[in-house]
Amino acid sequence: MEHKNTPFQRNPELAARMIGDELILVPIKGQLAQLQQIYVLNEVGAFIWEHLDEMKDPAGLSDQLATVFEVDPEEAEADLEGYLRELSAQGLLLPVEMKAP
Amino acid sequence: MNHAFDLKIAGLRLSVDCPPNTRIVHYNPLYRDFIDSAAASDLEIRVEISLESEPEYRGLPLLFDTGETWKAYRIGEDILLRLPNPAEAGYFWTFRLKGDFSAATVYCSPLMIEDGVEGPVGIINPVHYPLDQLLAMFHFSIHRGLIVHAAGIARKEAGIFCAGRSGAGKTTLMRQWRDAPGIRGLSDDRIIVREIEGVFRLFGTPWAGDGKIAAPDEVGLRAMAFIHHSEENRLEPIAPGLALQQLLPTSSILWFHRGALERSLALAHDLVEKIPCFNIHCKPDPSAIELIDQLLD
Repeated sequence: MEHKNTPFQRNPELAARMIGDELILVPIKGQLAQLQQIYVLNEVGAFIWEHLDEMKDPAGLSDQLATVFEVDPEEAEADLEGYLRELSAQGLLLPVEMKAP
Repeated sequence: MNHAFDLKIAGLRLSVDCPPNTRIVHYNPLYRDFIDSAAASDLEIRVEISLESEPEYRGLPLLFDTGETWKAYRIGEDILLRLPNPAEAGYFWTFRLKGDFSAATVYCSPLMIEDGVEGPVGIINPVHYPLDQLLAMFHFSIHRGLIVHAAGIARKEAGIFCAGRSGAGKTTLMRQWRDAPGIRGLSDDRIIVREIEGVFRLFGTPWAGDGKIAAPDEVGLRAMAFIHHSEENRLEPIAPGLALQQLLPTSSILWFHRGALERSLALAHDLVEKIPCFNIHCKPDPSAIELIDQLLD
């Protein structure tokens, strides 16, 4: 599955805080078993998180990644795919439900 | 209602009233210096103790379940917290906290009534851990305060805290440090940090650990450290991001309440940006005392 072609949204049950180059995500929870699970995204992960709304144009976001972090387009594309896979696996990103036309 | 007592923790006054012909039975000596003390207070929660039946909680939306102790429910604009008695199908207490966290009614079950004593009905003080800490967590979440699992010490007007989860070595460290010249122990298990007029202040609490160190003292916060066992004694300055990652899991935060969580996160962020943060690597022996001066100077 190519995650970069899947529309995602941020899980709304998270509180986020940017500190330095890192983004700290804290789930808002109702069960003790989930407590104290804190997620830390590095600079690249934070960039993707912040620009998720631009996922309507995955190629555009990939190009931005390549420009901002000065990497090859192929590497940027692989990074984007990898982060989207990881963030969605952790439940931090949720697939956007497609509405019927 | 009769006024029973004031419990003052970190400038928060829990003003406790009880029904006529009742009296409160205090049983924990660690609270002695926090009850009806002359310490200053700028915040208040009015607490009314009731012997009426608890409100119906079944069917209310469940906000949080600790799994072992209390459960929180939404009741209209208010919050209901219930401490069940695991041995029976009853409860110890249930409290209803107003939505603005300014007042609470504590419904005590018959389990909280002192047996076999003549005269006014003796109610075993329910405004005690964990109830008082829960009330404080709600109130401080809107008044720039944070409860941290940490040992706190002070020298003159400056203090530090060393944070760690249970078993990290807070009490061990405190036992070594409290005997150092000029050092006062604030708590060996939980401290409170408040931002007051732009300055971070450190407070002791009655919620002590095995070392039973609990002092209603207040000092300026000089530094914070996160405990790591090591073969050497060493302080390692750390970046705010790493400090925040360690501070959050050691803080008592209302993880289930979006507003409280976001405010606590913002406060913790400011705290690690403005106060020097360290990892404290220390041997579990008295030699760790040499790190005090580095933290407090």
